[in-house]
Amino acid sequence: MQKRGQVTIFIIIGIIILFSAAGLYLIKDQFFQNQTIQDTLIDTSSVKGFVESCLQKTLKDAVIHIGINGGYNKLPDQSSTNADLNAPYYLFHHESNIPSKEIVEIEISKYVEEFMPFCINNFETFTNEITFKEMKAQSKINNNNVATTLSFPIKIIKNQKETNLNSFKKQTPSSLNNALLASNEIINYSLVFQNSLCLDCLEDTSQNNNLKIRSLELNIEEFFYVMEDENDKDFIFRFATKYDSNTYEQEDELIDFSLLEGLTIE
Amino acid sequence: MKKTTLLIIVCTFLLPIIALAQEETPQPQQNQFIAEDPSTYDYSSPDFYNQVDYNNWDWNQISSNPQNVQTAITALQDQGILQGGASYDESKALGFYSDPGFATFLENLPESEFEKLDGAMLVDSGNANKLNQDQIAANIDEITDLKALEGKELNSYIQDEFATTLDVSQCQDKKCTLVDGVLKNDGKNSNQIILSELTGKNAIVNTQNDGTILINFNQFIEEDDKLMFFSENNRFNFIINTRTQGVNLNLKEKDIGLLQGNFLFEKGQLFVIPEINQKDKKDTVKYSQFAGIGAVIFTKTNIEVSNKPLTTSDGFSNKVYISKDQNSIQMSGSGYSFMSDEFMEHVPQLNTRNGHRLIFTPQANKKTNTPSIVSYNKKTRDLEVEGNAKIQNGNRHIKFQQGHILSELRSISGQNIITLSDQTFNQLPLNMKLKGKPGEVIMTGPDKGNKIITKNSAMYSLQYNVDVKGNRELAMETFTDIKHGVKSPDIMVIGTRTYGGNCKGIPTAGCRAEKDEIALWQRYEQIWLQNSKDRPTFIINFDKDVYSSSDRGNNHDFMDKLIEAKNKNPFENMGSTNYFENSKIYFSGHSSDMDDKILFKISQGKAARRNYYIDKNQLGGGVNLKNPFFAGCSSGPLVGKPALRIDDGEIDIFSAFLVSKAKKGTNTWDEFVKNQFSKDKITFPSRKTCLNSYSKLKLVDESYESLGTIKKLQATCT
Repeated sequence: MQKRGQVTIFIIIGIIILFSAAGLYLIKDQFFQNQTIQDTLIDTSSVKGFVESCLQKTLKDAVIHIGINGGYNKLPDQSSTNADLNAPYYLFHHESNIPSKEIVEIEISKYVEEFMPFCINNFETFTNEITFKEMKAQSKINNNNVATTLSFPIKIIKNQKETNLNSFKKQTPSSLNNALLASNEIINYSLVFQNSLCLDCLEDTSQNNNLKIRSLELNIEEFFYVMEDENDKDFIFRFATKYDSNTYEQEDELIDFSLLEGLTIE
Repeated sequence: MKKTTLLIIVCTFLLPIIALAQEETPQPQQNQFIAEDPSTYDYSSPDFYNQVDYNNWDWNQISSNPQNVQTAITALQDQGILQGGASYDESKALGFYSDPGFATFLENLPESEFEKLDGAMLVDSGNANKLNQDQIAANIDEITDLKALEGKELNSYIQDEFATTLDVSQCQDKKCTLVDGVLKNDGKNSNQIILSELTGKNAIVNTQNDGTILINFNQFIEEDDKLMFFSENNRFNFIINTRTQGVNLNLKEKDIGLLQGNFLFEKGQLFVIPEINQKDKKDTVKYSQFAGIGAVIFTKTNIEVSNKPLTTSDGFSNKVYISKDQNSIQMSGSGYSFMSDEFMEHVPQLNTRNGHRLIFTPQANKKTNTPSIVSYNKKTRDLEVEGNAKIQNGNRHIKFQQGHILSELRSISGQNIITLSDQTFNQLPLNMKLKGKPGEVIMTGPDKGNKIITKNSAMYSLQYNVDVKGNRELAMETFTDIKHGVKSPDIMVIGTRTYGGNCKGIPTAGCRAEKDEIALWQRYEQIWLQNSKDRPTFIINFDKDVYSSSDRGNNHDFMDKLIEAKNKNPFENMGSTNYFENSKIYFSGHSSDMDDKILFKISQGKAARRNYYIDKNQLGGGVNLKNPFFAGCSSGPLVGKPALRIDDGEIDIFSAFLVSKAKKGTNTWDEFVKNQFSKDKITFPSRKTCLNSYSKLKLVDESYESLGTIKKLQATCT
């Protein structure tokens, strides 16, 4: 009986040891696995945060730049040339030349794609090995903001492990949509009124789109429009219109005021 | 001596002696004409008039026989004393006219011979005043001084010929003439007038010492031919200007200013007529001056001078009107311009090229059925335009066209960049107002910051009816008879009316309703939908008595007060944000006038709240919530609070109700609320409004109890 009892004890101890060993083994694997994942997660979030902050900044810069350039990353051929700060012609010789919302979105994306690398700077601030491929931006102009989704494949390598980041999304508050709507309104009545600036229309447009709008007469053929958002001092949207002064319609029965030159009134 | 020699001697010496003897010896017949013996004169002998000097003639005797008179005239004519002969000697004529017998001569001069007189010499002789009416008529063109004529005779002639009274007593010597029907006064101011133009006008013409000619119309003209200006009890003067071939009309006693220029009376109306001269091989447009207002009109067409202010019906006619105080001018029609004499930049010369004058050009267009009436007040610089017009204000060309104010590009290439906000369209400060469009447009002068204000105002009443069964009905009505759809009203009055009994808004004495409060839903809808951007200032009035109690004034008085209060806070800039920066929310009325149950529903269960929050976005960019405007008893619960408490965003629900009612015909608030809180979607004027409502409701949802409709509303918006 005593022997049987000792055997039993050994068996029990053996089982305990076995389970303990197994348990330790399991716990060990779990521990190291968790440690690896945690290391990886930390690196990813910092990289991701870095890219997103770059995207945020670049997007904001893009909206400001695009606004100043009248919806374009780079001024198109049909743009003013004589102003200190030129702008695209949205109206050129009686034809509307205003970019569509989609075009402006593409222009924003181009800017982001062009200037994001300067901010990313090859991830030089990171010690991990990070490789990346060409980025591709897709922007959307919403009512009160501009959002950009950046497709930017990034591979982060640490401890012989790889983590991939592919897509980033950011938005920035902006009146760009209102500015485009306002621009369309202005061009619409500019087409109606030819070489005249409709003052009350401009006022209505200003109200309708919550924008302060100034019109600048550069010369007899060119008008500049500058829109500002009082709530966003950084936002300015500019475009120009150009008419052909030689095609002004002659009004009927208009007095030829040149005849009055030299006339003296009592 | 031979006979021949004797004959020669006789011929040489005797014949001259004989001849001399014959010369020195008067003939017996010639002796009877000796001056010393007039009784021997034979006036019937033609030789007499050739042999006896006219100062010895006895015209009384001559006139006893008409034949003798004719013989005498013939003799005078032959002697060059009267005109019409082979020769004429002015000095002889002057002598004859100075003769004491000249008066008798005139008395006996046959009418057919009047023209043989020399008017100029008559004046020089000092005896022109002896001419009678007919003699004046025959020689008027030659008379070099009307003042030298006998006044009564002259006037008789003028009356017969022109039906006009003429007084030349104030003329300077030899300054007033009437040649070819043109009365001239060559005094300092040199005026003239074609008297025939006054024919039938019963005018009194006064020539003044300074050259002016005043014409008084002091009688009522016959009905069919009366000048519209001139009534029985008014007298008017106009002054003729010789140099400008024009006329000054001094109509101060009537409600019209002073005019100068070329005028034409025709069919009882007065027209300013154009005068176009050739100068340097091109037309030079002359002008007619409106001296009182200090302006001129350049014409290429006839313009009627109106004796009363112009109205819309005059929009296609070429008319001008000068106010009595000569501060205001109105123009209508097209084809001419009015140039103010106001100089910009104090340039003391006419310089239209550089835009130093204000020029107004009405531009009525019959093809597009667009009238044109331009009203300008020089004193206040208020410019009001109805229809199309063009204004040159400095180097800015401002057009009023198709209900809009347009600024034309006119700057000099490569120079100034001009902004709207720095007043360049208002080089000479003008308060411009465009009438006749849905919502008038006002542009103010620089003293007010060069602003454009769309003066759109709409008032609505929120009407709460309770019928005999106790059923409630909430309805929206316009207070005012708005003639046009109002786009983006800057003031929107929402007020309440409680109609007891069963009147349901039908105006009856017992219901305290007014006729002008008939439901105008169609109009409301139009206004609301056009105002889809939701930018009005809301005036919420809870006081039914404000609009019905005489001691508080009528709707318009109240509205005026509100606008006045609003105008004390002028908009900072034309930008929309600033536009509403100083806008206020207006509250008025009795707190008890709003049914608590309605309030309860509107305020989502917060009964007895009598303050409403207007969404900032709803007003288009900011409302000064810290400084609301209170009026009436409803201010009681609110006054004293540091700021208007922002509640639950009810107004969006409220607006949704209004829109729903307008667009979908939801009849009552109850019905609307029922739908709102159950299954139906709300129709919002815009997604923006919907989102605003959603955001506010979401806030409410988080702050208070769940409304249960947030998700549905969100779905609606998206």
